[in-house]
Amino acid sequence: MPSTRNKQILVRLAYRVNGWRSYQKTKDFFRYVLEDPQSAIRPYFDIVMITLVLASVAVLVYGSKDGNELGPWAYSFELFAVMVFAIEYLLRMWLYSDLHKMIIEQYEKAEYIGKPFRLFSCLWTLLKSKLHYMRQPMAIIDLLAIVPSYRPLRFLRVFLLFRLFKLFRYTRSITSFVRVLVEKKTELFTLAFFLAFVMLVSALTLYYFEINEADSKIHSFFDALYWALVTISTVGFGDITPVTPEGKVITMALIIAGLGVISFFTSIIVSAFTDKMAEIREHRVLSELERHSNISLVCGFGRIGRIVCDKMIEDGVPFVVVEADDEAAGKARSAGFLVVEGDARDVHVLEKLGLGERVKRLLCLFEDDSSNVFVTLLARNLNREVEIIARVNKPENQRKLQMAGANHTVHPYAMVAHLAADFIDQPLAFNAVHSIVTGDENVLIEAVRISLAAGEIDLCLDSFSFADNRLVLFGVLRSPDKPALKCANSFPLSHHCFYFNPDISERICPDDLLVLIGHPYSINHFREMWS
Amino acid sequence: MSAQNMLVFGCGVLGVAVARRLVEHDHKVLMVDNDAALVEKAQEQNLDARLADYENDDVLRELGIGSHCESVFCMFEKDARNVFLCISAKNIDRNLNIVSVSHAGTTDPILREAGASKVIDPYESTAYKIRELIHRPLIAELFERTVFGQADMYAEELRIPENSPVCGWELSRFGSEDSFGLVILGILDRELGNQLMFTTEGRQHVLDPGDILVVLGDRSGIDNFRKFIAAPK
Repeated sequence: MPSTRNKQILVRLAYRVNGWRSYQKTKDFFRYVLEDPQSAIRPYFDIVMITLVLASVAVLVYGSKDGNELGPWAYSFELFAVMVFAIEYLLRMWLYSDLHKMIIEQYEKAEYIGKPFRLFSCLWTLLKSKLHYMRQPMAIIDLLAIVPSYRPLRFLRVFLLFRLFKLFRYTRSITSFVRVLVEKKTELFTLAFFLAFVMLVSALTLYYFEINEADSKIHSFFDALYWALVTISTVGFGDITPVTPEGKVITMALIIAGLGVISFFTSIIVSAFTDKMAEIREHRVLSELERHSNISLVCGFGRIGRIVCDKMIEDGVPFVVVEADDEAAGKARSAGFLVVEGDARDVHVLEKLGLGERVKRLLCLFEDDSSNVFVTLLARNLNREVEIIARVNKPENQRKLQMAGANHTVHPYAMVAHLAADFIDQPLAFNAVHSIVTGDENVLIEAVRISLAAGEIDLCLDSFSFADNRLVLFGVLRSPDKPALKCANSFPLSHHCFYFNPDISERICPDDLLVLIGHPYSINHFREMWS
Repeated sequence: MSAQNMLVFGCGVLGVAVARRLVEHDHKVLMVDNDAALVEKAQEQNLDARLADYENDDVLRELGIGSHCESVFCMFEKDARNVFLCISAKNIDRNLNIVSVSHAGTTDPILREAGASKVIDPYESTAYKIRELIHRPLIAELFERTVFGQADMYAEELRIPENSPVCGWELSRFGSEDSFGLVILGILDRELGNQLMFTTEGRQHVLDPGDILVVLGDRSGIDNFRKFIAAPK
């Protein structure tokens, strides 16, 4: 039957297009240029289109005045602009939906259910999807903008306005502004209704009192309405003023009402924007986040959070602060950090931040252990691999955090105890170790990887002459599957074995890490020589 | 480590942690607070705690400041109280060893002015540790498992007595054998000042009696080394 053959042709065509790589690539390219919010090219495309729109409008505005003459180039330019707009419209319509995918979906659904594949209903679905695109407000504006306006027909000049509305497509800030107003449309409608009501009442009253006066400025009801709006908006052109005492009384009442209307209007706009501000800011932070992978989340911005963030900026680690409290979030923001105002204990917040894919590390720095445990559990559930460093305030909760899935725990209060006790017993030893660990006093500890040239396999520790290089060898880190070193003491770590103070006659293996203590210059020099 | 008499002011989480650790190190510790509930909680954990008004100088004297107390730990949750306590205690005993915690970063210099010998900022220390975990995880883990962990590695100060066999040695002389498997971090020679001189800088330094060596190593190595330097020539 002919319709079966048509069906087959259509379905086969759809499958062929689906497998056609260059079709997909071209479509992706256009999508990247026209629609992708993170595209690098799209801003340039937008600028070109904006220039074209403004230029075509400018030319036509110039030509509106009767005295100005436009050359034949104006006609070609208008034609060019109209063609570009038309092509853009068709491109957007093409990008809106993937017809071939829809055909395949319909066909496969029909096969699965066992019902026959209906040609017409499929075509109708395709048509509906494109019609849906055409119904979008921006699409309508685009269509109307195409209407060529270079004709001495005055009413067509109105379509110029649609060109200007087209600009909304290219400027994100105006769209968000419009969206803000749209959100408050109930309040704005109420205001408009109230305004209309007051205008009507006062116009009617003034009209009644002044229409028959000899020197009155009111000649029609429209004049009265005009006057009412000019007065209530506090503009007061002065072209229409009341001449009767009754009229003046109404004017006074209208002025007072007008002040109320103005403040009502202002407060609506301000509140709309304040509400939106938080959302816009968050949106900006989230899009900033999307550029990075391997970000760290800092949950809880207190004193510890602040210092850690400062250090992460120094080290160039990308991070985001998640903080529910307004004040703390404000402090983080004014320090210049990326902040998302939200509660890390809410799993939706964590998901929104990309805990599943983009987050490499999570720091739980709350002041209460229950929050730290909770967030650790949530995070571990979302992502098996993320590195979690959690703060523990009471030592008895350490195990709970480890069971919840924290990789490392830090203990501010226990640390005080350690530092205090060590300082009291052996202030000098304490200071020595502390200086080395923190790198103050120009003494550092670093692990330097040794890369050996081909002939250096048998190098022993003695040949590095640490003393002459003003370095002290703390120990050697070696992979546990390599032979052990003769040393004072050895300690197993997660991926290495640490050999403390090894015998200097011992040999080095490739990829060994020498843990050295010394001045940063000495260490760098050593690194340059051997690494 | 002689058992000194120590006072820990502040029976909150901080104070209890400090007191416990000091007790583990065989010190005689007395905890003080003016909040009865906290004192009770500390007593429940087998710590010697007393209710007293730290703002009263007579009470401080009675507790031992100015007489048998050698170290005071200010572990209140509020910086203002720590500062007040520092000033009061220092006033009574100029030579008192005062260790204080600092909650706001800006209080560090104030506490030092008030007389604290050591100011500990738990937030800065924790932040520092976190940074090490992020930036240099290998080194952080290394320290975690060795010096700062339960492992057999300690940092100790050893004073060189008179007639020690090592008097007259240069620091560079200490090979692996002579130092019993210990790493010598540095030396303090009072004649040269109060700063520790790290081994990396002072290899030529000649050891005198009274110098203090800072060594790193296992318990038996340290004990043996101590015996070695104490044995007469």
